[in-house]
Amino acid sequence: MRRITSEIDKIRRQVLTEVARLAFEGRLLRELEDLPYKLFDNGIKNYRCCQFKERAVLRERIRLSLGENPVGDREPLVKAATQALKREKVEGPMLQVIDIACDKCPIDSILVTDACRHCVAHNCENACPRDAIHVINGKAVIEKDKCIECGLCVGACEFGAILKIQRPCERACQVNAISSGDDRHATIDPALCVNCGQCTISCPFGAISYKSEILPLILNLLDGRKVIALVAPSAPGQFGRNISMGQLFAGLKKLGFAQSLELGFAADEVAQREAAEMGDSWLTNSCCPAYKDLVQKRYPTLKEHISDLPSPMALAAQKIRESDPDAYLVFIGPCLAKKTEAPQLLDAVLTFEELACLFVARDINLSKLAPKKLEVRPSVYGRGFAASGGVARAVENHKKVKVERGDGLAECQRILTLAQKLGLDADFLEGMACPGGCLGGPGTLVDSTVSKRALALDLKQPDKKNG
Amino acid sequence: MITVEICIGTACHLMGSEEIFTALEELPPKLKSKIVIRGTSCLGGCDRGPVVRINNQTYYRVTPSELKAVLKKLGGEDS
Repeated sequence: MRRITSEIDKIRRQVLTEVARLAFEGRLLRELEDLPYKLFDNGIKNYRCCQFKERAVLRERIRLSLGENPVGDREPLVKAATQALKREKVEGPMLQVIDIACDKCPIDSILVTDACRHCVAHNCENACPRDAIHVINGKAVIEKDKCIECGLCVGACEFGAILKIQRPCERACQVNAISSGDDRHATIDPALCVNCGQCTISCPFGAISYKSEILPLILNLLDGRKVIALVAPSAPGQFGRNISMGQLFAGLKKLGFAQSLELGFAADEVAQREAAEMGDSWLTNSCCPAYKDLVQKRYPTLKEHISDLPSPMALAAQKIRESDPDAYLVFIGPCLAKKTEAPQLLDAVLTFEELACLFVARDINLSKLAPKKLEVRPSVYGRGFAASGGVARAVENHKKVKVERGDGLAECQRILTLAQKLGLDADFLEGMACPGGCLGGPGTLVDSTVSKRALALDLKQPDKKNG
Repeated sequence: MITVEICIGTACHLMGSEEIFTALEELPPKLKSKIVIRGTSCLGGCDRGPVVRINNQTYYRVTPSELKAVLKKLGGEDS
């Protein structure tokens, strides 16, 4: 699906930006209570039944921006802000359902539409194993108490007149972690959820979102602590047309980061060590935390095939920690699963979206900045980790192996299910939870067709020296 | 000729200015041939992005569908 900047994205970004602005300027406690009114007056209105509900939803979004849980709008914002200002670190689970924003979408999941031609064949009737569908007065009718929602009638109708409707959040969730809970609100089962975050960009009501980690980062920047950015390889193209990596790094410096590193370097090392790690049985990557979680939770018998190596993010963080134990380490990428991958190593994990909101809150316009000179770039293989197929290519660069690729959680599960029963006819399995790899992550700012183009352009720049 | 200047500043980008470029690529070829597209920054109104300037007239909070409608009108096409 094409990643477009929806109204939901715009609202979430405006809220994040304004919360960041207040935090940077030390006005959080004084002015936060007015923020829902300000945002409402600024155009976030007329989406819901009334202005009161609109502002109640905004207050929940503000709580998430502060890194706090939604509370059903039962408490004043200043209470959430007071708690948030004391907190060193935002705790998971990061994915949260905003109950009052959830539309409790009706779940009459099999629906006969007006396209029913009251035909002669009655394929729907014949396909139904429970005798739950009958043609009455010339139209197919479903008996709700008999229907088991198997969907056989949907496939049987030659006119496509019968639909299987699923809630968008449930459809987006490839591990069936989302269901309709008490009061029919969406609920996420943490035992099944792998934190891929695709639900956050699928709900048309914006009822599932993530807790932001901007506040602890802002406080540490204001404190003058040494803050180091670890930038994911999927960064090219995320921050705007023609914005170079050098300009992004200049922006990070202006924001107050002491140092910024491209994680492609760590990816280079991971690929090399993964190739060396390969023994008799097949190996699969450990760099995608949602995919790794999937294997551990759903395919425990295949766990031993996961590479023992840390992800590039964790590897780089470990190394910096050794030489610089007091630095504040921030990963910046497209990923929500990274937020809970290695909380002991990283102080904060931000999405590209969160970072862009910080730039705007500080009136930093990357297109106006002179690019910082990047002396050495990671290899094209390390930088290529960002797109589906990139990890496998990097491993192949070190060792001639047969690779298999799972692009998106659905495909990964197909391959893993088969592998569990029949084994895998490959030496290396690359699993990526998001469609298209990291470029399809929920924390991205542009569609993967755009970032793919930008990445290809960036890969044309040499590894060693770059202007 | 119709000159379309799209702000590529960070504030406008955050509000989806990249999709304005994509929308212009999807215009009918006849109309597209009458348009010159330019990325620029900054046109002001950063809190009302994406900002687009068409023949010296500035538009705020532009959506791809609104933009297409304006261009079709300027380009003399009804549909």
